[in-house]
Amino acid sequence: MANRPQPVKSVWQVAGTGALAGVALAGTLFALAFAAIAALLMATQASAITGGLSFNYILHVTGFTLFQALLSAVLSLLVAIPVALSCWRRQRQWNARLLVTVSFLPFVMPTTVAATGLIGVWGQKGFVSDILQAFGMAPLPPIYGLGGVLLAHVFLNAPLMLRVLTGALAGIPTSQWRLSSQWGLGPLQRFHLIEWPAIRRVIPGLLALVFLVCFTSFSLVLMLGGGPSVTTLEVSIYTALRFDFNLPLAALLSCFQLGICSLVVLILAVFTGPSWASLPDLYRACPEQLGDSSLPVKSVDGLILALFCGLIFLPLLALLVRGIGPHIVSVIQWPAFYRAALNSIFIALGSGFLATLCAFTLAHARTRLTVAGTPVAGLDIAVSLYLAVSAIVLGTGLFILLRGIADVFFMAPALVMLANMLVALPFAYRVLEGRMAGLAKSHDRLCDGLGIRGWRRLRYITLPAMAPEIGYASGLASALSLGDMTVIALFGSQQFQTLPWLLYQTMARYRAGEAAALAVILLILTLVLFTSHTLIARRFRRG
Amino acid sequence: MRFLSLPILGLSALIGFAASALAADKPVLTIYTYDSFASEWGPGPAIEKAFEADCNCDLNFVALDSSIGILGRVQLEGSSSKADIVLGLDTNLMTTARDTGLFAPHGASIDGRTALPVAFSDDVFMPFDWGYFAFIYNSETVTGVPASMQALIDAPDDLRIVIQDPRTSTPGLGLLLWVKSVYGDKAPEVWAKLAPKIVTVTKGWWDAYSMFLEGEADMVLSYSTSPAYHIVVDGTDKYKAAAFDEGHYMQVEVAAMLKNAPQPELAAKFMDFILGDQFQSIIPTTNWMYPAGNAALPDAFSGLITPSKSLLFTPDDVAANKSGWVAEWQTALSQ
Amino acid sequence: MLEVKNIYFQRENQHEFTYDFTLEAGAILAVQGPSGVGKTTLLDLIAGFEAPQRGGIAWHGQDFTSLPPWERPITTVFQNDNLFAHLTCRQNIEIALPSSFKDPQAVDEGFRQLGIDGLQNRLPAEISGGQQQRVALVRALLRDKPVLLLDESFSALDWPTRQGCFDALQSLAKDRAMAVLIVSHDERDSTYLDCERLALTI
Repeated sequence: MANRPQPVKSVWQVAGTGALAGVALAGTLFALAFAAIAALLMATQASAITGGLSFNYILHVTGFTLFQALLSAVLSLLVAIPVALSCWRRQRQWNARLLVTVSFLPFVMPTTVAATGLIGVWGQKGFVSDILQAFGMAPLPPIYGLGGVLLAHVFLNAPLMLRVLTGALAGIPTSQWRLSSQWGLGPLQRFHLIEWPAIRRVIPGLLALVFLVCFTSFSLVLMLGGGPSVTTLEVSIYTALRFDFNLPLAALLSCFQLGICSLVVLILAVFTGPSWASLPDLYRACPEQLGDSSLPVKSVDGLILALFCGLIFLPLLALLVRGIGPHIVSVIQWPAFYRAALNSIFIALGSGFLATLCAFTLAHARTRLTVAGTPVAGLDIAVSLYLAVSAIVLGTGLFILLRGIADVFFMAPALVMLANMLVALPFAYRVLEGRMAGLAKSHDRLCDGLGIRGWRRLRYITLPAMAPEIGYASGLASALSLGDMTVIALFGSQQFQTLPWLLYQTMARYRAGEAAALAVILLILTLVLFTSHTLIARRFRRG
Repeated sequence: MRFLSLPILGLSALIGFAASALAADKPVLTIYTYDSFASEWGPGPAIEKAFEADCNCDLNFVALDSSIGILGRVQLEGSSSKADIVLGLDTNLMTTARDTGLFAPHGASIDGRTALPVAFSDDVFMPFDWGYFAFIYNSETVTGVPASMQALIDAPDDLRIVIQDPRTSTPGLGLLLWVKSVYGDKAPEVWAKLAPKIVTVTKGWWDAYSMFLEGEADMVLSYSTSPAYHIVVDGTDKYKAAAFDEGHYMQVEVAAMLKNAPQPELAAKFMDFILGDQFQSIIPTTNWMYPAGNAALPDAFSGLITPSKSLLFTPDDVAANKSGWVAEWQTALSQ
Repeated sequence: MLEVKNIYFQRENQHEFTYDFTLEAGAILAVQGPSGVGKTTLLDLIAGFEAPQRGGIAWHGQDFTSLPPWERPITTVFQNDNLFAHLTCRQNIEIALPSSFKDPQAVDEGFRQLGIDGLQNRLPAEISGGQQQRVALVRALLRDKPVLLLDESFSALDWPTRQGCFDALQSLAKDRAMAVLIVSHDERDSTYLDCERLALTI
């Protein structure tokens, strides 16, 4: 038996069949995205493909979109970093906890609702202008324009960044905090030595994510941009698709957008360390640090937290002020409300579950393949693709692909669920993948040594250990799809409506009061849906 | 295992949809329309009841998000579409719609049955209502209301107006055509002068209108019939339309039946029903537009402005020039 | 008898390691030597977490060099991180036992023997590092594999507690004819155990 060569094992033997499922899924994701775009490209087209858009105009729009997205991402980060540091220092304070807890909310809100809330604060008749006028000052200038778009993007994305950054801070080993406390490091030294190295690792990933979200933003841009000078490539795609029905043009623009997004993500990937989005327990014992209870640090933290709370909560408050009232009673008496609410909840739960299932499968494959020493960039790209290909392009493409095969009315709910699932997938994937990679390090030897394998490992070890992340991922995915106003605009009808669809329809009938009430209900439902996911997940924590 | 409770919910959702898709026995006439037409407060329910009274059929409105959405949807579905009729296109979309080759002649008579301010005759598209675009203002807060388009353009820049995007909204396109029909080649300069007064350009009509109601702007582009809604529903006449000397641009909304309609006889019957008294008398206080036929108008409509001149490009003109004019508009406002 | 026959192992551009020894059933072997000399690597090779380039390992003449970790007659107690953070101490033990072995009383008995009775329903985060190691040892013993690998498993224990564990270990090794490899820094361990020693050098 000596000197016998070791049998050569294939990647699949090392990585397991579960990894194969993940790779197959990634292949399907690739195929689906390109099939959708190809379906649009090949659609027959009566008028000229350029649809009156000149190449120069596209270049101009692209330049502006890049500028706007970069600015939005950097601004969000510049806001999020000091808030994250303050939140971490004041983690026992209620407002810091509240901020981290609801940090997901602006991101998953229907954009129309978010914009309405922002206008309620920063508009000509908003809170801020009211206060200014009460003191005899001039009201704010109109927020429409680049400023409004940037404000909205910071409102949506800074809280998400905050969550990830505080997660990164919470991942710093306690021993480092103890050393820093013992050595008496001041806030600046501490930032340089301990905090910055921890958050630096997640910054490229975060910037890339928020850049993509802002690059492909369109309803907010249409609502707050103020005119055709503030626009994005996605707006052109949207108008080509929805208003000119120029499908090949939409497909070409999508490919162009995909190319630019890939380029930017690749550039950022050069600086990327480990991925973001692991969610360690935030609140744990951490010794008091030098200066934490000094007046300057305390007041700066207080000010930062108060300002950020204002940025996040005032728009929500504005929505509540408008929406809470007798209209809620009348809205919940509509038969259409219950149909829409049920549909919304089913769609949200369905796509949330599917997104989590797919994300879990992909994350599993990624972890196993990494252990087996195989490159996993393909998996990451297959998922990130869906950050750059818009839901409306996907939905339309899938519709065309399937229209010959199945009944379009019957398909609508399934397609809405599928498209929403794909949109939420990148977020769910990131949340799960980071945690799973971390777990593999500590669990692999233990499980192999103890003979805990396959189903047993999944059921008793991996799933319970990842329950919080699974809850967060599915909560986020469900909430995102609950607030969807894009895909439903394609497939919705009187027979198949969701709450955002009903909200839009209510608006379109001059019913401002009822629309505001619906927005509040939608907001509360989002909160309930997300929270219930995380709470249920917590119950599964123990085996 | 307990983790399965979520997928079971997901599956039950799908089963729920399946159950709701079960068909009825009677022949079903399917009409694609925009959401507000089919909604509980729109004309849809009353029209459905009236038509079903003697057709021995089931009228089914499928509400889509906008009039342009209707056309997109039938193009998307192509020959597999279940729609018999589309209701809610307008004259600006007529040529584009006709060129898709998806629509069939309606076979009903139009001549002598319409009360439109312009001549209208078409064998495919049947008008069902119409209105004038107009700027709406709150008469309690706004003074010095411009009496003409030129006065609006020359008004001081602190007059804040909100308009819609011509690429995405029917009124937005209406204003673009309105300016074009008044100023022709000078339109870009006019837009440049208007630009400082424009608070924002919104995607849809409602976005703009709600901003106006919230006090974000002094005037909003809407329809001359909008004040009637506030009179009837809110009991207030403070919202008024500004009458412009140059005349007002019109919108005529039309319906058409599809070539591949699953129920061609029923569809033809409905196309004829459109200009009848029942349909037409429902329109004013549900769709807040003027009826295309000879129906009596409710009192709330009597105080509305009556433009001296009705402006309307032919559908072919719009189809031929729209993209160029929109590009011109984009450039003018991007300066 | 555990036979480690002329095993050769080298990670990329790192030290070469060779091992060659045998260990009788019922005996204990203390693996000693300075840091970096390959003590943990030896255990990893036996457990199957690393594959040797040459040589073979066998138990009672049965070669298991090419078997995966879970099919080997081995159980390991690592230096740390032996427990799943989300499972209670009892769950941590029961998860690793075949269903026919699941005897709650045997688990309780193990906790009593090693002086950690009453911790059965705690989470790992709620007990000390030394207690965690003893929970892992209870599990390793209940798994009833003939070869037990202990990697600095007792370093965190105070000397009297360690002696108690050694006593339990010695009697079990005899009773069940187990082969025990124990990596240790502390000279006192091998002296107290009065066992064979394998001194590794670079």
